[in-house]
Amino acid sequence: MPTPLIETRAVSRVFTRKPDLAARLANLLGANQKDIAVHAVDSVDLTVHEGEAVGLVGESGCGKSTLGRMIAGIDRPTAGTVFYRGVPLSDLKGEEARRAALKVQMVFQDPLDSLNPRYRMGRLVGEAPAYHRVRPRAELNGYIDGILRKAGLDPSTKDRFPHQFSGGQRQRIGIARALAVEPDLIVCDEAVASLDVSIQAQIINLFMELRRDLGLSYLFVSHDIGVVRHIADRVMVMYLGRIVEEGAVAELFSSPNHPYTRALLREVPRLDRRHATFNPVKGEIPSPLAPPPGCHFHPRCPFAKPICRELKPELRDIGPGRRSACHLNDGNA
Amino acid sequence: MTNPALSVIGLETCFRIRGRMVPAVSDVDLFVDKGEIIGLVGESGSGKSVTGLSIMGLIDKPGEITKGKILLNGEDLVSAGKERLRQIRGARIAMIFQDPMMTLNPVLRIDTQMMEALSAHDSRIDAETARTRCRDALGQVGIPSPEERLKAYPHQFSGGMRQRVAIAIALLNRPDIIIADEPTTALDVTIQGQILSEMQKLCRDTGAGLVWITHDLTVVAGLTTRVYVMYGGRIVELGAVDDILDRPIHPYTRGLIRSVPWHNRPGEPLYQIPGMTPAIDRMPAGCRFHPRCALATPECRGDIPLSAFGPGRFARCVHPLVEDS
Repeated sequence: MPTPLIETRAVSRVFTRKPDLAARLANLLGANQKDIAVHAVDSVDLTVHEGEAVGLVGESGCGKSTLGRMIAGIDRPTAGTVFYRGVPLSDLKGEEARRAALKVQMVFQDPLDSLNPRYRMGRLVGEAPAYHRVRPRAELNGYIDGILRKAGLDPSTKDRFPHQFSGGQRQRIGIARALAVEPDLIVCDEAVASLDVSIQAQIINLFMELRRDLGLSYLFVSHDIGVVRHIADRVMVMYLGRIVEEGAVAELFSSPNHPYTRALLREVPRLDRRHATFNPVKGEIPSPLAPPPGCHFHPRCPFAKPICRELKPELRDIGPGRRSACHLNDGNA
Repeated sequence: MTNPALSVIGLETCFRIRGRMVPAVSDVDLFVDKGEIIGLVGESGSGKSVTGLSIMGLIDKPGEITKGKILLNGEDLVSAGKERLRQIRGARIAMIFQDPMMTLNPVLRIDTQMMEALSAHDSRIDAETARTRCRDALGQVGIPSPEERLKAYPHQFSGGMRQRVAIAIALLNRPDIIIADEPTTALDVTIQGQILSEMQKLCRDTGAGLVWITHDLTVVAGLTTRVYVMYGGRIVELGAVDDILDRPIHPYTRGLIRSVPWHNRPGEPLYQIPGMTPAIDRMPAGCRFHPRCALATPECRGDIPLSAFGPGRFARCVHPLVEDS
């Protein structure tokens, strides 16, 4: 097995809120108030191989964006390690760390939120490659023009500001900016979620074209199952901070194993599901502040057994390249 | 045909842009029967939301309804006075928005807001009856322990629950028509499934007609019986949901259907409609879709009426995608 491009081992991210003054005073007086902690990502193992497109799906609050941000180096795990080509990111120092950071880029959902409104488009895309000396100064202009054309932008619009572009074009600027530092992996966080259907198709096609032409790898973070199914080779399904199931796209979508994955796939509205009588999953997504014990999904799971309330199910192999975290697979439930 | 609960006839709503009155929607005809769920589908800028707001009488200056009629049980809302509109709105016709926080006052308890909606339309209602009705409405939309939840503030609800509260408020006065503008777009799939299922049941039980405004054809497929497709401020196609999705007539509708990722083979290039939606003050002449259409000819620049292609089946296109029979 070749060294994966990116690997996370038991990566967790806990957000804590320190007690405020009142709580500290109360603690002095004997009240025992603890820090409030959210386990946004709970011990996740994930790999992305060279040239692979991995989808990360889940509903709001499941930690998929936090995981994406840790892989892109924007956030740091509170436990566990992220490896880039087999080297722990936390071991890299100085120039090496900078190089590795450039190799993983991120594209965000709302381009207007991630593009400086006072920068012209040429500067938005050109700043990073100039600073990091991706090309000698003399070649830089031509290089940027090439990147813009690859992303489907007209280099003659370099002097415009972000607000002068349409939503689809702004997303192309975000993509061009990520491409400009020659990354190996792009983490796309809901990158097509806010686009209209016809524009969404254009951007998805661009992602696939870039992958073919540049050998890029993707981590596609999305709540949109249809988009992930189209673009990814492998999918990981997250629920409340944990991976509950993982597998190749075709297999996972045709024979989902985990009850949550099954519920999720059943709920996806599709063109061929007409006059549906919806039979939705019961209950709300629990708050990550107080996740249920055992399997996080058990309060909503129609097959829950006593063991599901007590013991956290491990993510286990259930077939070649398939893993699922469900007690029902163990036969001991 | 019996009289529909809502009919919109020749609606045109204009906005003032750089000193010029520009139509955001024009020539919109639409009807909804009692208990019927229709889909109003379009991308951003198609005029679907403006149509919804026009029906509700919520178009503010510098916008204005410049032509057409909106008949609710036979009564024209366009020519109705302010006071009459206030009586009708929230009682006979109600709206649900994408963001429930637009509907809910963050500093008032749910019961205060709900009872206000009742007393605004029936000043003689006593507190006890009002409370019971509010509680029942919350129960009807699937909020657990409605009695206690009445005393909660909006921020104490999750996003999905907040949207349920907004729906409960819309239902309070048992309206004839509900306009829902992308009410599940911001929600997770499992929660969206729950709300769609509640809405279907509610329309069946209460006989309310529902206009579901959305950009998402896949939601429309499961929920509605008839669909109107809008593009560039006009209705370009309408018909039964199966006809629209299986046998689209307008090239735009076909393009939309083909660009849904689920219906393409994974990994292959998606069908894409070239170009982008035109801005409201730069609408092309004739068919608004012709600059992006592969079938376009010079005729497409002329005036194109909505023509019939069967019972209840209309499209605005000179190159309809139908096999000659």
